[in-house]
Parts: sequence; structure tokens; C-alpha cells
Amino acid sequence: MNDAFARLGLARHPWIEADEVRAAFHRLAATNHPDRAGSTADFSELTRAYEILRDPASRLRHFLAIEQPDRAPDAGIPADLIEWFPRVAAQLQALKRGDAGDAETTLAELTASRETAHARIRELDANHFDELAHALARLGFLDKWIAQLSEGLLALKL
Amino acid sequence: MSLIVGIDLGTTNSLIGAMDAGFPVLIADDAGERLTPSVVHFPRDGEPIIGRAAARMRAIEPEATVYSVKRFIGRRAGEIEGPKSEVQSPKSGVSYAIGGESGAAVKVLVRGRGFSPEEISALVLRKLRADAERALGCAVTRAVITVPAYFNDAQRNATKRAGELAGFSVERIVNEPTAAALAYGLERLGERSKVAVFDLGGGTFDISILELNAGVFHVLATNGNTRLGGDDIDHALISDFRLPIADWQKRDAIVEAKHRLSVEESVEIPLPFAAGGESLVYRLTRHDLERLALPIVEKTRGHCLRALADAKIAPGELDDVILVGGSTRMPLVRRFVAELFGREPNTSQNPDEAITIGATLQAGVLSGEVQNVVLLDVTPLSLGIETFGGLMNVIIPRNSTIPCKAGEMFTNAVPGQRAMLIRVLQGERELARDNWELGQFELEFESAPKGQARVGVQFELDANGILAVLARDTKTGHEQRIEMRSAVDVTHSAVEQMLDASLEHAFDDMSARQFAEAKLKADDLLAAVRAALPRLSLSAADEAEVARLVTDVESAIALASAPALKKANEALDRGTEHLAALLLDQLMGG
Repeated sequence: MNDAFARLGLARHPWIEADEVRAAFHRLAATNHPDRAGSTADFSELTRAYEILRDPASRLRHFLAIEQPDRAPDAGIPADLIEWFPRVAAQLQALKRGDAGDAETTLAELTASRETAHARIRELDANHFDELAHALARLGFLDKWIAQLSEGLLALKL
Repeated sequence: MSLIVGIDLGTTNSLIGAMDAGFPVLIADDAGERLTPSVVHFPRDGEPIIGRAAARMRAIEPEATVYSVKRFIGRRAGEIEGPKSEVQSPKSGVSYAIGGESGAAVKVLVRGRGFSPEEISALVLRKLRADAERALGCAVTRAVITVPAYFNDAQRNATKRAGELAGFSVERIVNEPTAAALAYGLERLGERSKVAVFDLGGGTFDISILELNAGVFHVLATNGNTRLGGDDIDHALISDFRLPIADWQKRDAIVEAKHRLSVEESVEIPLPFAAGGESLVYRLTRHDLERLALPIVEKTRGHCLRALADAKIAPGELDDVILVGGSTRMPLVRRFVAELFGREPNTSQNPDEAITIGATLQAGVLSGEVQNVVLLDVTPLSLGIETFGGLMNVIIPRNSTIPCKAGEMFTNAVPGQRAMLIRVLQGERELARDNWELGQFELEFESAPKGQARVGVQFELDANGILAVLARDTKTGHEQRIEMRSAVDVTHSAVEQMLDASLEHAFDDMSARQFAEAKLKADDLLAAVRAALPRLSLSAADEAEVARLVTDVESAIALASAPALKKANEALDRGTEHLAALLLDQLMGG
């Protein structure tokens, strides 16, 4: 696997600020774009690296994959998220029926929970493989639920 | 390197520009006008008339005068809501006939002849080209042409074809809001900022969110509607029109009223000798205009909110909201944008001209005349293929920076299978049939045992947002461009062939669908079981039994066998029934 961190000239770390990722992408795109002397193949690779690193979960997945390629980050569902399954499912059903219920509150709680997860990732490095793998599993669910609830609420508002 | 011009091929008006001594300059026609109405009139005898003169003929021979053709470019007849009724209905305001078999490309019908929308557009482009050649005193053969950001692959291809029909080598298709951002950002190259471009034109709406950073114009997200614009406001006004006069007279009156109401509070348009020699007056207040226009303007809200969500940006983080497109002259639109984004919009750009200025700047980038500027644009729609069970499998997600490519490996599902039909789709819906079908192609396999024949397929979106498909032989590494049968160009006999083929393969499809359904069920079951297991204290025997049932499901998935998977699903469902009850008890109790 190509190292997206190296491709963007960034230090390999589980967390990088989105702003910093974009700045690195802009710096390299300015010279590597096909409209300036770059080749389409090179630019596609640069874009791919940017797409991997811009999102916290995909960045973390990539980090784990290049740190320990032989070790699958096989983390189950975080125990404290289990209660959320029926709650989110019920709220998505309600949103489909046109009932906002307390979806806003749930969304706020999930977003706060994601903020906490992000903050924790900031503090960790490659020595904390297992904890990072768990954080990745957690983000997988939180991102999905937040996206589904946001879309449901948006559809309801329009 | 020869000159490249920039062109805004608009629904209502078109413009052309060229770089002059390092600056983008718009080119006027021989009457000194920079705006050329995108109108073509076909006289009974002689050459078609284009532009302002053609627009005047709309009143006299409406059925032989074609306008707003951009609404039909790259579209299939069946897609335009009731194409036949639209022609006859006074509501639509399209005074010429359009037709074409359902599923095939739209045709404009004038004086017994059928024209494709790109042929009509090519006539407009040819006039712009002639104007530019006269003004510049040299041959003009290369162009950058803009399209709505939300145009799909077929609409982009058709626009490119229109350029080629007009004798241009089309160097780039640029998204209109991105071009407008370029015009806005040229004087701010040293800054880093985030902006939104709200582009409401005659026929289309786009919203793009960009980050500008030291000459890099990076589109973060785009959204829009290619059938939403000032034309819809015109239709609403025509439906509301009470005076007994001909449709073309209504149209002229309401367009004038609409334009004047951007500055005046109420207008009176005299209609001399309108109804049987009697003179009438059309009165409209801004209040009434806004009452009719609000539901149309309101439709932009969802697109804006989705673009912001995709860009992961809150309205407060934006440094500017730039208005372009003629319809943004309406005070209603400006108030709406101010409310939606929580700030006064930036009206520094000329709503009609900014896009052409940007297209011309991009032409300058391509010719090397403009340095230190790079556009990083995105594809507005997700690109994917139809997968088992009629689902859309996304290969390149929407808002991916272009040019880009993504590979996908295909293998034979049954021993000795020699070919596989792949349908390429664009859109955001889960079900394949709800998305736009770009086309389809047949992938050929070597005869091999199941899962052994492999062909890699590369999907490439170029800088125009246009798709190319390459098949790669994994043994030889040889790449070959696959010609897709465009869904727009499918002829009647091709449709019949497709129907025959689908009857032949009906049995295959059926089992594929059954498997897909069973797989969805299995995914749900497995997720539920995995969620529940760590929460329960099961006996070793129970745990082993559940593990065995899970393995059965997993191997049935690996075998891609619908009957086996169904059976395994049922066994797992039955075997874990008591787990659900146990889990519920624990949750309630604890």
C-alpha cells in the first residue's frame, strides 16, 4: 500500500487537522496538477492520498494498515455503543414517518461522543495499536449514525 | 500556442471572452452587445438566424424559434416530464415542438426537421465564434466551455459535441460556479478563504463550496438542480396571467416585468392592440412576483444545506457567499441567501458575465498565459455500477476531485462464463434503477472455473468530469478502452435487443437477486449477533453452537449460493432467537 502521509509530505500520525491536510494538498496540487506540468497518473495518486487523509476514520484506518500491515484491526462493537443500536434504529424509523422525536438530542450526543473519540485519537500514537483499533471501530458506527440522522433531519426540514 | 476562448453557453444568453495582455476581456458582437440570446430561428427559406435577431422572431414565429435548449441537452425524451404535453401546454412556455422516442435523445422539431439540442447549441456557438474572429482578427479554433456543475456525463458529452460541431477543439469543460469563483478570486490570490458560489441562472441552479488558497481554487462540494431557474419563475407568472392574450405576448410582458421589479416596487406594462385591437395593461407588484417565485427559490435550500454538509462546513465559516446568474438580481433571492447563510451575499460579480470571465481565465491557464492558478474541481455525482439485486455500488463518490480514477476487479460467477454485462450509473440513490444510466458494456472472460477469470476495469473521470472505461487484462497488463453504449443514443432496435437479452437472462437475474436479498438479511443477522454476543454470558456449548451457525452463513456468502444462504440464515435466526430475549432482559434489568 502506498503511504498517503508520505505522498502529502505529512508526518505519519493518527490525527492531523483537516486544515493541515488541505494545505498540504494545495501546496502539491499547485505544481502536480495536469494543467501545470503534472501527469494525470501522478495527480490521481495525490488526490487519492488526500481523500484518504481528509476523513478522520479513513485516515486512522490507513495509519493502522501501514503501521502494522500484518495485523488486522479486528475490534468488535464497543460495548457502550450497544445501547445505541435500538435507539438510533427507532429514531431513523420515526424520521421516516415524519416524526423528529428527539433526533436532534441524539444527534448532539453522538456528535459529542465523536468529538471525545477524536480528542482521544489526538493523544495516541503507534504504540497504542489496540486502542486506536477500537477508536476506529467506534468512529465507524458514530460516523454512520451521525450521517443517517443528519440526512433524516434534513429531509424532514425540507 | 494558439488562442483559446472562454464561453458561457447559457440557457438564456451566451457570452465569449479571450485573454488580452494578461486580462480576461469579453467580446461584443457587431452591434456592441456582449450578451447573445441563446436563440435560433429557422426562417422558411435560408440560413438559421441566431441571437438577438432570432429572439425578436420568437413573437412572430414561436414554433420556428428555439430557445432554452440547454434544458434538453444530453437528455432522453422519456425523462422530460411529459415532453408532448409540455409542448402543447401553455405553462411550459416552450413554443416549439420537441419529440424523440422515449429513452432516446430529445429532438427539437422545426419545419418538419429534427435537430438534436447540441446541433442547436452548435449554431449559437458558431455565431460566438464568428463574432470573436471578427473582433480578434484571427482564426478561433480552441475553446473552454462552461456547464452547470450538476450536469451529468451525458450532458457534458453533449455540450462538448456541440462545441465540436461548431468547429472548436474543446480544451476543457468547466463548471459554471467554479468559473465564477475564479473571476471572484483573481484579485485575492494571496489569501486563504472559504467561499460559496450561489448560481441561479435561467434554467439551472448550482451551489459550490470552495477553499481558495494561494491561487489554488479547491472545490470542496457542489450540489444543484439542472432544472431549476428563472424559466420556472416565468412559468409561474404565465400560469397566473389573467389577461386574454397570446402566450408569446404574455412571455414578453412577464419577462420585462420580472426584470424591472428587481428595482421597482410595481410595474405597468402596456400591451398595445393586444386583444382584438384593444389595448391592455399588465400590472404586477414585487409583492405578487415574490409570492409566486418564493416556492421556486425555496427549492435551492436543500441543495445548499447538502453542499455545506458534504463540505463539512458551517455557514459561519464562510468568508463570502458570491451571487451569480441573472436570477440573483431579484431582491427576494438576495434576502433568501442572506437568511440561509446568515450573512449579506457578495454581489461584486456581474451576474451575467462572471462565468465567462472565469472560463476565459481557465483558457489562459491552459494556454500558459495565466500562471499560479489551478482549479481543483469535483465530480458532482457518484459514479457506480449496478450490482447484485439491482443495487448501486459506488466506485467514485460524489465530490471527488477530478481527474481521478478507480479500479474494480470483476470475476466470473459461474464456470465457463464468457461475458458479463456491466451497467454504469451516476447518482446518489441506493437502487440502481433510481439513478441515471450512463451506458453499459460487455466484459469478456477467458473460459475458466468459477472465480478464476479476472478482468480489472478502470473508471477514469477526466478534468472535464467525463468518464472513460478501460479494461485491463491481468495476465498481459494490456489496457483497452471500452466503448460504452450510451444510454442516450440507444436506438429502438437496440432496446428490443436488450429486452430479448434480458428475457434470456431472466433466470440468472432472479437467482442473483435472491442471493442479494439473502445477503442483506445475513448482514443484518451477523451484525445483530456480533453486537449481542459480548453482552451475554453464554455457556460454552451455546457459544460454540452460535459460532457454528455464523460460520455456516459466512461460508454460504463465500459460495454465493442463494439457497444455501437462505437456509443458513434461517438456522442462525432460529438458533439465536433466545439471545434477543436474553439481551433485552439484561438491558431492561441493568
